[in-house]
Amino acid sequence: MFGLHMINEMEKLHREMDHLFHHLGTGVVPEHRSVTPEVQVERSAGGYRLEVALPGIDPDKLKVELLGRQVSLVAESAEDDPEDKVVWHRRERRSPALSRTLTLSEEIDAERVDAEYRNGILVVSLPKAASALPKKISVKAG
Amino acid sequence: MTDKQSKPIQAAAGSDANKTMTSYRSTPAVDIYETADALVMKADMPGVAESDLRVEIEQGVLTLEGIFQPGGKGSTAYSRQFRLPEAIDPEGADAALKDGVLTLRLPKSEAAKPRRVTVKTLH
Repeated sequence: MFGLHMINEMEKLHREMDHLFHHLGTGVVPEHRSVTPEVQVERSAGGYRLEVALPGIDPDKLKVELLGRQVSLVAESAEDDPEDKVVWHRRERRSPALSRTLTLSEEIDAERVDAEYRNGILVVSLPKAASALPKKISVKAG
Repeated sequence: MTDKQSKPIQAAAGSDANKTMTSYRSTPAVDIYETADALVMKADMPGVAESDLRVEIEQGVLTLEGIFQPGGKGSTAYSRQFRLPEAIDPEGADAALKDGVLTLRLPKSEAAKPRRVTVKTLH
């Protein structure tokens, strides 16, 4: 241990300094809690787009499933605890863990569903099925 | 700027009526721990690509800055600064970004590393 109490965080706006280490020298590992991230749902004429921030997830542990109009998103945190004998100074991060099932109001074209995990963000595109898209009916005049 | 759990991707989640480009500021949540020879910092910056990340140590101040700008939508700007102790060797710092998590390793300077001192027995 060295003089870690000297490390301060700088608040950008106020340039005030705040003590960085709350757990100075205690060696106590604060509990690693998990958090359920919010799923953003965007609906357009052509379908739905789901977006959820899941930093640090093992892509192999991401599961996206579609059953009828129900889409389920399951993500497990893959974060390993650090090496032994570390001294914790801050533990603000929460492991994202997700298990959500959303019911969409329109039929989805299951063949064209696309899911992508990039830079810690999962994006699922769910195009509407042809049967759910508006169809223009020509009006015959007699 | 104390909202550590700010909503990084809430921009443009609304209806078509809400087409304005919103930009959010976010203070990334960090984990910091100390090993025998380094300080390790992990920061959540979901959405940020390597090219949009800036990690800088200047005059003992560490700056983390990143921007997430999804196409055609609002942006999230992550920013946080720390003052580092003198016992950190900034030349040896190493940063890696993976899946929206920045891992920064800040080695302690030689003088700050624990050193085993051999105890001689005198007769």
